[in-house]
Amino acid sequence: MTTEQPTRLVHEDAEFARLVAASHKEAPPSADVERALSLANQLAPASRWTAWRWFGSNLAIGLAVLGAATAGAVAGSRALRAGDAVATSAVAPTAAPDAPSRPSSADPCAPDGTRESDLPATAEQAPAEQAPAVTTISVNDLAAAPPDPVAVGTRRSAAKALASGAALPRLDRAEPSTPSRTTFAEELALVSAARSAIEHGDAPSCMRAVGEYQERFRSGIFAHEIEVLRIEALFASGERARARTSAEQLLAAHPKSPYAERIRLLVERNDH
Amino acid sequence: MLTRSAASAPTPNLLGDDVEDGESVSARRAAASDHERAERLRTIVREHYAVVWRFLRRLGFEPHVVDDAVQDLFLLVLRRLDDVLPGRERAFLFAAAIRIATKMAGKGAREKPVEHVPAPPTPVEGATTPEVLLEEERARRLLMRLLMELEERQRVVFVMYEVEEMTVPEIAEVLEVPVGTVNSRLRAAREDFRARLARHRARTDREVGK
Repeated sequence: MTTEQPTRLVHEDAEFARLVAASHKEAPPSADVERALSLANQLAPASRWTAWRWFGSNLAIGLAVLGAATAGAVAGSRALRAGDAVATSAVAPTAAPDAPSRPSSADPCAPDGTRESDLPATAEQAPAEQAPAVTTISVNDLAAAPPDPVAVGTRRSAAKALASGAALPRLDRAEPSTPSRTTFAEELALVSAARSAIEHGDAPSCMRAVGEYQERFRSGIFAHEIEVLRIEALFASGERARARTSAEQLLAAHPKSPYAERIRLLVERNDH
Repeated sequence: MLTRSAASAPTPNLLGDDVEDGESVSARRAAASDHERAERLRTIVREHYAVVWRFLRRLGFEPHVVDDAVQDLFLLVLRRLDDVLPGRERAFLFAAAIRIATKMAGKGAREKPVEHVPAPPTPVEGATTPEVLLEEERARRLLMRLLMELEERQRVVFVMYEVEEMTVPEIAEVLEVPVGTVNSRLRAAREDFRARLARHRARTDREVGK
């Protein structure tokens, strides 16, 4: 292990620190994060109570879920359009499913078994047979996944469909014995609806979705995200006092939440 | 390393502790209940999704490539959850993210230096003034431009050290190159970056001075 590590530029150059800080504020489309969260559902029926407790203690909860208003909206609408895709992609066989697993399985840092990752160079070196398979993985091929008739769709289309709620009936049919999957899809639909509403400036609709969520899934998977959305909706509808109280409670309970910065900004912005 | 990671995972030890090779550890972890695994996956997503997404952005991949690559990355994580050692998530994710995005981007899909405009910022209604947002967006563009001007291999190291604030050994682990290589690339990258930043300042000052 080396000892001499140069002082990081952010500590010696305020301008660079400013650039980096701005860069830290960029966030991925919220819908994408929710889609990824929904992957956990492919592993097992969700245990929402425990999940929530875990978040509470660990909390580092990726803010990203709420992060991107604009991008989220865009992704959301794409998701809707991708609604029908679930039928095809849920059953679509993935190209060479074992290609990505080829690597030295014990080494966590070599997921594809390639040596050094010199970006473009690696692309060129990548064996051609492997290239098309890398981006597609089917849950059915996953050793870790329980036997499950519902494949995680390959790539984004199926996942989008899932997020859009279009996949709901399909999930129901496929998983009649696992009610939690059904509620999960409903939870996801509600959180998506709430976010989409607030992104379009429709605080009342957002509050309705939030209210329904909190009523039905008090300790749901997205409880944290929903609370953040509720605070946003409160601010947006001018209920600053309530919003601030909730914000303070949330910050007190989860000071390290990745949503914290966003909440603080909201409070700050509404302070005057 | 394996022992530590096994110890920190709340996994019932069904297979006994006597063999500590990777396979048994992996098998033991696989015995963890499904819902623990699901929770772990969700935690990883919540903690790291945005982090990896930003990381790929900073390396200069195009926004759509980044979006897709990160989605795929988490499908990979779903599949290989047991290989993601507790405490080493970021190393696993960064290494895999670079590979997935690189393959996805292919040739010619990478952002060209300077002219490419990054994805629009993600304004939060009522959270920040438009001026602040604009300022931040400018800062991001400038950062992107400066980063894109670095030589690729130096850029990766630079981003990991200076922006992600990883240690040199961590970077070496992700890239699977010797620590010395990381150090020399970092040195070169910092020199180059500083020079470019200085030139940028001189240019800006000149424009302002006019």
